Amino acid sequence: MYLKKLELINYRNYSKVNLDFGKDTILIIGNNGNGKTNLLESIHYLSTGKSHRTYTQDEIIKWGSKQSWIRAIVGSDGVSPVNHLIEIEMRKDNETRIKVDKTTRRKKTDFVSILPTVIFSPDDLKIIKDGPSERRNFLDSLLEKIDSSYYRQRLQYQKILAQRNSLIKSADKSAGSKIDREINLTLEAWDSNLVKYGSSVIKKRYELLDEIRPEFKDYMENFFKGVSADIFYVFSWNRKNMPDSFENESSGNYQDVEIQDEDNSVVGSMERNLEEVFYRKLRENIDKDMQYKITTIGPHRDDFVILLNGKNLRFFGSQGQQRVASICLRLCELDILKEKIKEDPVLLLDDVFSELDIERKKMLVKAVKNKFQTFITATNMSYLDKLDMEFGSKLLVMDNGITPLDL
Amino acid sequence: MALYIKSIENLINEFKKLPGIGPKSARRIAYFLLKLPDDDILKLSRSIVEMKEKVKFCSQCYGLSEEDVCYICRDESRDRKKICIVEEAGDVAIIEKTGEYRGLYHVLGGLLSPIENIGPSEIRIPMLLSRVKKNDVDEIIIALNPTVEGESTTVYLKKILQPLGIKITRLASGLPVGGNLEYADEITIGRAISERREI
Repeated sequence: MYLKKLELINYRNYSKVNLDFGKDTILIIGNNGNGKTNLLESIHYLSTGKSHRTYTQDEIIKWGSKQSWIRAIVGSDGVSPVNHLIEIEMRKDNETRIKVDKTTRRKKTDFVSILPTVIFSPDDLKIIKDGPSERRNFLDSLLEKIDSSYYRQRLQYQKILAQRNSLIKSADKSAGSKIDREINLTLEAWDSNLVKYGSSVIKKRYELLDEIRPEFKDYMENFFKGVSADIFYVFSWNRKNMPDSFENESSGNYQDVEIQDEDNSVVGSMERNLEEVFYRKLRENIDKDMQYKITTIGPHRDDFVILLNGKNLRFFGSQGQQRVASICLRLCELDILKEKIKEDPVLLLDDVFSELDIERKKMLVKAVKNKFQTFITATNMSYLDKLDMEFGSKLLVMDNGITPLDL
Repeated sequence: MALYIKSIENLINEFKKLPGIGPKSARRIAYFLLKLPDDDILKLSRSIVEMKEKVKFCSQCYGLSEEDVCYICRDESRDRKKICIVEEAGDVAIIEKTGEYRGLYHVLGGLLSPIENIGPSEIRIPMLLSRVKKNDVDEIIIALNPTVEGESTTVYLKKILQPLGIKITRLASGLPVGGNLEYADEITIGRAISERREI
């Protein structure tokens, strides 16, 4: 699939924009603050029904307007060409209406796979640098794209988790820090369902990371010759301390990695086994849960770690290394998407070249060049010098409008 | 300015509180009632009051009844060794309509939900336990909704009933009869596959 036509009305800084695209590489040039990212955001919105930048709709609607629209024709060419009209209407009261070919789609899951996109954004650095929730988000949003039941399973898990947390909080009022028999019995009931849904979340994330792993290593070792890179899933019960002190971890060698090997068999052998381990760990940590009044074990506390020459990239990598690692994760996302949904994704490269040196730029270009429809933003043409790229069209973003540039 | 008559507005406001009735339907019903003969209005209002006065919970199963013990619990021809656990009294009528079940019921009146501060003693679990201990019961059928709360309540019931040596079953879940595979959601189909059975 690729984006053939895009129309934006009252979208962020744009009053009205009408663009046609070919299935090639589109360069978007403009100074800071002129709306390059806004354009990419709208394409990402078409793909997922949400923004990659904000949770509040009001930001998206142009100042002084009540509604904004994204209308697009997406499709494929070939022997039996397909075209879909996607219309998204966003209103000030936080309501969104999505229509595909004039029919309303109520569930987002119905529509996410029409125009798959992968966005490389400056914010991706957060996946490497920030807390575990950013990394879980990376896995979760990718899983939502390739596995239609995942979203609901995770939602179920969140519901049970909320119930369990609230039970733990109320336990204190009635019983003090030691749990009495009655509460414990109720807790066991919630635990067994927490484990049931939680295990399938863990399993899917773990298997996804396992699939990504060889490619991620390849990409990293390609970008940095002579280094060894690795990526591991970290179970909540293997994170050494409570999350707060975990952030201050001083040792560079990630010791949990050794335990990791033992755990490979946990998921590998059978789902049953994972459920058993999860349940056991949950019960073992019950006193800690009571003390902190929160569930400390479960996929909501899982993480993954990236190692560069045996050291945790999050704490010991340079900005450039971390940037490249985030790009490699996105490249893996691209490969997985392509393989699982058998549909060409659209690539959105938002200002990714500015931080890379020429060698790294060339490698990235090589990895993505001429495969899919690709949108690239840059503030300056010189970032793209010597990269040997061919652009199907060039757009200049200026004064709240978009104009085609002559090639 | 819209026409405003206090007694009509009062009634509309009462109707709006009812499940499934929005402002438009409430208004429509109120104006409809206005046109009814006095007799019919009396009949309607009496039957509401009468229902409220007469209907109470059965002292055994907590289903709805006009007597102290409901007709199901009194019916000697039913299998008294089986108890089907449901969430709300209305669920009894739903299962009864099938004609498939000839045992007794127990209405919990809710599901475990710590967020709403509902624990085992807020829903009639203590009553269920004493009922099971006092009578000769050989099977408990759990017919709770397959929601997060329903499933956890099911697990809880299993945990407290199993030590009593009673067979515990729960309703099968899977594809709706006459339904179409493509319209079922993934979790339902997944469960239908994992709980498939030999034919």
